[in-house]
Amino acid sequence: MVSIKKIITRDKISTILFLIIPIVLVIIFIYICIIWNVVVSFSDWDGLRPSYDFKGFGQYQKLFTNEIFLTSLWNNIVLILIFVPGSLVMGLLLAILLDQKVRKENVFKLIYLLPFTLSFVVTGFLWRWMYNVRVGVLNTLLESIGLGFFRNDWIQNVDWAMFWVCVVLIWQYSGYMMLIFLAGIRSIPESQVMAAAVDGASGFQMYYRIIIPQLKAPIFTGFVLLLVFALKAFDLIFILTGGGPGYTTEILPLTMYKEVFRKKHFSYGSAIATILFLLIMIVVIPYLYKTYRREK
Amino acid sequence: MKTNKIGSKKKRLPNPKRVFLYFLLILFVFLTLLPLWSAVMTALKTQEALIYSNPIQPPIKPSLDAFGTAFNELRRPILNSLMFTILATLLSCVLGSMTGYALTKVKFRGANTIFLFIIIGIFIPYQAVLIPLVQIIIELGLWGEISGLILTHTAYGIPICTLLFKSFYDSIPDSLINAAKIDGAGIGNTYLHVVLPLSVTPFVVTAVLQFTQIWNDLLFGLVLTGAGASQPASVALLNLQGGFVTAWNVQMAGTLWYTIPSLIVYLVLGKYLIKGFMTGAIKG
Amino acid sequence: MDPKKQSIIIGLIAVIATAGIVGGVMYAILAPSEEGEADVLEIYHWWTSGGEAAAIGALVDVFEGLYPGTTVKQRAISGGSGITMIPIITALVLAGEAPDAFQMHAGYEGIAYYEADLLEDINDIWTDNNLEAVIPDVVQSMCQFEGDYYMVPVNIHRSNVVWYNLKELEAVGVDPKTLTNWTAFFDACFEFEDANPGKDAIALGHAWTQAHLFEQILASQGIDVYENWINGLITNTTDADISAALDILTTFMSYTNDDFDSLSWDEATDLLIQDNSVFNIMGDWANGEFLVANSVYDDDYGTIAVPGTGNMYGLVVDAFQHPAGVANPENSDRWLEVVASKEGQDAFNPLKGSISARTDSNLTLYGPYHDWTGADFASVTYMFPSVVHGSGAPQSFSSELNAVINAFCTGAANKATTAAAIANLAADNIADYTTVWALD
Repeated sequence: MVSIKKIITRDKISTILFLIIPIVLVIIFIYICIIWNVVVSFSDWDGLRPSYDFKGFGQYQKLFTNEIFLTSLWNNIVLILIFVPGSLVMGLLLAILLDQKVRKENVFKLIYLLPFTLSFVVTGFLWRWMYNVRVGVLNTLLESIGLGFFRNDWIQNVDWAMFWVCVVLIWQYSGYMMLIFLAGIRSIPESQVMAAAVDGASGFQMYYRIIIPQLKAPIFTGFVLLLVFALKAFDLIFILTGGGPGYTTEILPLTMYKEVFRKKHFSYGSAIATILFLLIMIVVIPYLYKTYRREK
Repeated sequence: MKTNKIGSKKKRLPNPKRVFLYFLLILFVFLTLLPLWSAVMTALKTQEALIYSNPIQPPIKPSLDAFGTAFNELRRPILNSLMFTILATLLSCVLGSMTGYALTKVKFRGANTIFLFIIIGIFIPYQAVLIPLVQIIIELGLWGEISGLILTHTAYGIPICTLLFKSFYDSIPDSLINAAKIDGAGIGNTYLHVVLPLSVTPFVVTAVLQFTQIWNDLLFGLVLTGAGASQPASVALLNLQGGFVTAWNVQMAGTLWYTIPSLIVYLVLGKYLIKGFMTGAIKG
Repeated sequence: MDPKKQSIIIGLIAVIATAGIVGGVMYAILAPSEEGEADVLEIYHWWTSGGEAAAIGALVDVFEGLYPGTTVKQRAISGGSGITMIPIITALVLAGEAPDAFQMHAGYEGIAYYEADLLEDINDIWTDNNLEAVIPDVVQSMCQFEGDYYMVPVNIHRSNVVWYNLKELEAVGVDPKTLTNWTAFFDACFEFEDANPGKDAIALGHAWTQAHLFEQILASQGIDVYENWINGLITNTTDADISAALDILTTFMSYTNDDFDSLSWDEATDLLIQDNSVFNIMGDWANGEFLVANSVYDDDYGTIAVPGTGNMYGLVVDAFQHPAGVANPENSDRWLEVVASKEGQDAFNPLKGSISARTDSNLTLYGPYHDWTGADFASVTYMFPSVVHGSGAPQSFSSELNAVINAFCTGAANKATTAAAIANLAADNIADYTTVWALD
């Protein structure tokens, strides 16, 4: 007969054993790295030799007078303003369309979600080919269906490049938003929908009045996920435009990468990364608080 | 719709609204698949045929040359990617499962705090850890090695895996665990004999999600490997393009080679991936 | 335990074991290929397209001919100007795994490595091979930091070249040889546009091609102006020479295609090849575009120096170096010797479309364009290192210059703002100007 005390001790040890590896990895690779990154941003490490002498807030001051940083920050905001609502609306539209008791619903669902499972590397190359000005898919397609006057220079266009980048991201994310909204719509009790139908609500009114207002939770989730992603996006823009033309599609993660690995400005780059981290935490911490509060 | 008996079928006219609905649905299918379709068509053409045909037309004489050229370049990187993706997926799943279990089924103070502390990792921008990460991997002597990528992907996979497993284990009734406890089983034995056998679905869901995420990564490959032996496929793909002129047929063929493993996973295990997306509701 | 649970556990174990075995087998297949080679030379470069790849291949052949026992590992990373390769080199260098040599632009582009003590001086190689006797002074200083040699040049591209469509020019009765100043050049532009309504005289491309153009215009203001500029001495926000150069650029822009900002450099050159315009200012890598299009030099197209720079040679130089602590130091040195040798240069450059950095090269190996430019290389009074292509000015200056000039060309910034921005860019980064150029 094992004593209670022994069981508790044994369980304590097992718990520690269960958690030790993951927690150590998380501490090192996430928390220490983040803190270390902040340390670097305050240091004088500006070149290929690591150097950690304290230099203060200089890099942060530089950020807010540097045009490239400000442009990137602004581009990040533009990306959010186009991409987030764009994906939400497209996702909602697809979800509503699929909610009409469509035959082969699962096939449609599988196809719409397909872009989301692709690597950004793949998406980047696929759409570079789509957007290629001289021989690419869109221009030749427009030409062949007699819409040649719509020929465009797409992501090469200084004023519109960011918009076309957002189109690619919406293409990739709509299916995912559809999934979230469809689950939301399906969880609304049938009785409510029936009641509205009895009241004579038409299809459109039904969605506008009854269903969409009940999708607050999925819309909020989708909104946060898209927002976080819009701040973190790197791979796709790296491949699709590399930030160009000029700095028109340059966003913070890309600027950080270029500053550090191309120009070797380590402390400056880590200051950008710290700002980026703070921006994301401003979005995420309230979200996590709201989501997990009730469990406490 | 119960009035729609089989007998009345023949006289039913196509409802214009339904026609429009299907028109829209198919239009979106077309828009979704257009880039992939043209990629396949382009990859099947020779460089010459590319100039004289439109990128969405099927080739008159399909050629596998581009696929061959691309495969020669990507053979080793794809094997590299398979290797670290599979191993990092397994490791992060096992660790995520253990963490998820310890945080749900072992009642101890602070479990929730630890959980939050772990899952914040899902959201962090990798740029915020990039410089220290490169330094750590260099210090460990793992830079440019496949093992460095395995370690990195495992570590950054733990948060999402923990989230997925925890949300699944939350739904296992405590009574099952308590029953095992009464039988005198410790935490380890309960995990092995009670929890693990129930975990097949979450394992598949998490593994599928992790496989896709790790397979799709570019950034870590870019900063943790050179152009040497352990280069991942995503990085090698960048290198297919020529300095000045891109051979689009080869580029598209390479892109498709790189897509195939994750596409297979999606088509075969799509159901589980969807479940993973829904539970995790995260990508990035 | 019930059989269902048992089979699930067995299934799981099977999956893990299979994965482990697959991984192990893959490792066994893959791992040995990189082991067991002691005598290796590993070089990184960004020459991946047709002619370039052939050129570096020919250079490697020369090396392998001399050192047959050495395995040369070429790591070719595509992306113009090393856009993808430089980050990889940064990581390699940080990891202490620098390759035995890697491509870079001569001059300032190497200074980050120099300042971190990551380059070994190669004065011996320069002395032993008597390179100073055959390599022009300005190119020598492009290979030095603080008086010591750290690189050898592999090629020289010329930046100050006007490419013209000969037939179109003849059609409007202009003799290209007379276009030695901007007035004559713009008159010719006017003639062409007058005779070809709807067409633009000059083909221009996006971002860096505009900065490239500005650099040539600045050189046309005199070698001393250019020298002051790259020595960081033009810090007056209303500098007269910058202002004059921007005036020329304004006139220039009035003759260019409207969609310039969306064309890559080769697409711009193609406008000229397809008779849609008559002039294009671009470095002499553009010659390859004409060759691909089967255009004939002195028949379909021709070249002159950028107006006002007839006695100058704009230098775009690629180089290799000996990074500190490399795995194969001896092979690194051997490679540099081959790169700098007459044989090496004459194997590489005819295929690359550049000329040898050596004045004793065999010009008969090159095509007709290179006869013209090779003769100039031997006879010009002045040479100047390109800023846009990494050599002439600190990266803190050159990397921002593109955006400044682009803003001017697209009309987003006016002349005064642009002149001030250029001056401030130099003033703000004055500490980075460590090289003192002497161009005359």
